[in-house]
Amino acid sequence: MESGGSFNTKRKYTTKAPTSGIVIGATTNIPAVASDANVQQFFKRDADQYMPIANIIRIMRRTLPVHAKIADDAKETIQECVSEFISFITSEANKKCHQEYRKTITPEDVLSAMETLGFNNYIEPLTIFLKKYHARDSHSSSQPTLLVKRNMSYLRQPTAEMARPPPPPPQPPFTMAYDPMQLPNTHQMAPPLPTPSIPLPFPMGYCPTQLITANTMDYGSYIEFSQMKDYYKENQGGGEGSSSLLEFHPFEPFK
Amino acid sequence: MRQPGAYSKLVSGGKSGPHSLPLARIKKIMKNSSDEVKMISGEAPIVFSKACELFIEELTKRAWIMTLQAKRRTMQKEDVASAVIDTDIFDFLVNLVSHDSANTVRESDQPQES
Repeated sequence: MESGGSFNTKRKYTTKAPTSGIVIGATTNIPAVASDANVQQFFKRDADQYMPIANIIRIMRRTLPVHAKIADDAKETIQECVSEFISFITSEANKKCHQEYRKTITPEDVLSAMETLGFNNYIEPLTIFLKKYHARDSHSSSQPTLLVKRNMSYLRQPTAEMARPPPPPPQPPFTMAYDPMQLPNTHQMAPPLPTPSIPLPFPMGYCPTQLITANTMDYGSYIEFSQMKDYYKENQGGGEGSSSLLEFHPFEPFK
Repeated sequence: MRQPGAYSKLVSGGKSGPHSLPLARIKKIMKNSSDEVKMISGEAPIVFSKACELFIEELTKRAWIMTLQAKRRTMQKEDVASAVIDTDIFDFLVNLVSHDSANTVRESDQPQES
């Protein structure tokens, strides 16, 4: 752990100067110009550098018992701690970005920084939160979003894929190429179903999980389908010919 | 399907609308953390808004334990300081809480809220 000063060094203006503290009236031994500047700094500092105290108080109150009371200086201390927390994690995330020659701090960097700094407990709830956030986002947009679990590059170009003869489809009961049991929220029997907006030339019985779209973010082992969820439920346990939703049988000529 | 009970708030009570903490402010604080911070993805502040909630909850609970140990019902700054000192992962806050308590006069002049 780093010893020494805070990460928010910019906000420590006059911590030890005689002008710190009460601003009104305590200017007898200070030039007027300096005290004015300090007044402005104090007000500006609180607005910019901290989270709004009302939000913080709300979160505190819902965490504590109903009868609990909180002293004002305790609230302010927590307010400062939150800013310090953000700076601390951001610095670590930024360090990681630098090491990997990247310029943009991503959510993954933040999560990885938290793990490095000991906040492992936060990672799972944050991952779930991000997942739900993406689910809401994709629901509000009109396109279905597929989040990729595995990185199987041979399925990146569907059109190229169609040109090659596909391997024989698994006969029912399905045997998957990988074990979907590892994945929470996944539907085991999940043939991809083309919709009008996404032309998926995959034959029935193929695992759809390697399709990569622009909204891909890799969060580890889960798959999420928005619009397609219901399709997959319907097809669970189905084999060839089980779908009434599709008239697509690319393997007909191969049989 | 297994229900994540510990995170039930996330499953059932998660906010679908605006986030609890202002994203622009979070971004500002992130940028101020160091001169080297150049670009921040749009979703990083969103992760932080939730992370700060978790942080506040944890720090508050730990401080409240200290309050109860002192047989009080009002959480004081010293309870927060004790919680920080007591917790390893809050080591980065040790200077902040002890530095503040060493200052006899508060630096900020913001309106007091109850």
